[in-house]
Amino acid sequence: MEKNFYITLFISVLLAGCAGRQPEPVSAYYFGDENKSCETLKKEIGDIQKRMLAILPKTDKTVLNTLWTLGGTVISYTPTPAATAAGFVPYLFVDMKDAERIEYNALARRHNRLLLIAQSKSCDMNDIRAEPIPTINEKAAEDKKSK
Amino acid sequence: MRRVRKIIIVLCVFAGHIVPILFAGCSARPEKMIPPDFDVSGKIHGSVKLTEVVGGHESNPFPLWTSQVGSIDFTKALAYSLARAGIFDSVVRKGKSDYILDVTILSSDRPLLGLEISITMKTNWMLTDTKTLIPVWSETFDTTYNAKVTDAVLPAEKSRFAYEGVVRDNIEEGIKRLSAFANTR
Repeated sequence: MEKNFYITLFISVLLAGCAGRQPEPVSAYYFGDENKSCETLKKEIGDIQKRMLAILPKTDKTVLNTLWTLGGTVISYTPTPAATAAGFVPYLFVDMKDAERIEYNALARRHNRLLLIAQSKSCDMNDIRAEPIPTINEKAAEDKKSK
Repeated sequence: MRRVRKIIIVLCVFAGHIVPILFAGCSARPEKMIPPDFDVSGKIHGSVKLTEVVGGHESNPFPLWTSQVGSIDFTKALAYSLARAGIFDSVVRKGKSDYILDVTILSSDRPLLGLEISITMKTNWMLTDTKTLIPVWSETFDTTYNAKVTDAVLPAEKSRFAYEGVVRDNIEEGIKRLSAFANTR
């Protein structure tokens, strides 16, 4: 029983920081983009905006990662051997892969490229938001400047 | 049995708290990612707009396992390198341009503790003509950099050294390939 516990613990330490999934960033361009009709472009731009809105809350993992790390530290310094050992389990949940942030930035880049194509075709974009979307870093820099 | 348990606890505390400290607080520096020389044989006439590099990892305050390459740092180093290499007439970050250059980091290893740290970074570079909005050149390639035992003492420093090296090599290779493309035009 105890042996199994320590084996699990050893694996936990090895896997610390492995939470999260691999990012799958979209390309800024896909073959045939320039031949798409205004309707198709508008639909795709709208879909990207919806996807970006859904991803946005998950892009900043700082608070969650900090909580997992602090949790692990607090538990592991509890003066009982089992707690000290179990304190490493929260490290498993630390997400360092930044998948959502990378995918958001890639979507922003594709969105802005499709917008350029739509503008070059003089598409009527009145019914959707037709402004370039900044990446997370660009937005942070803009916010900093405006303050 | 009690002794074994004590040893295991000490090892776990070391792995969980000392190792991260050894790796901590070392995000790569953009000025160290700029190649010293550029192999530029061909030039592309016109200006280029560089979009922010996608795929970099921003520094997280916890748990600071390893050094990381941030998108901003890579973009800064790339913008400066492109300007210095003189492959385009001018490099802009905003506004109108003749070309748009998109760079995506597709994968980069996270190094493990070791005497020598080797990192491989795979990137895609895509150059788009703004008149047609069709890419005129796109290449995916990877570069590997080995940080040697003598490069740094602390794992954190060595990891940072390796990241800076792999980005530097990647930028150098990308500019070389861009220049080769310019020769074919």
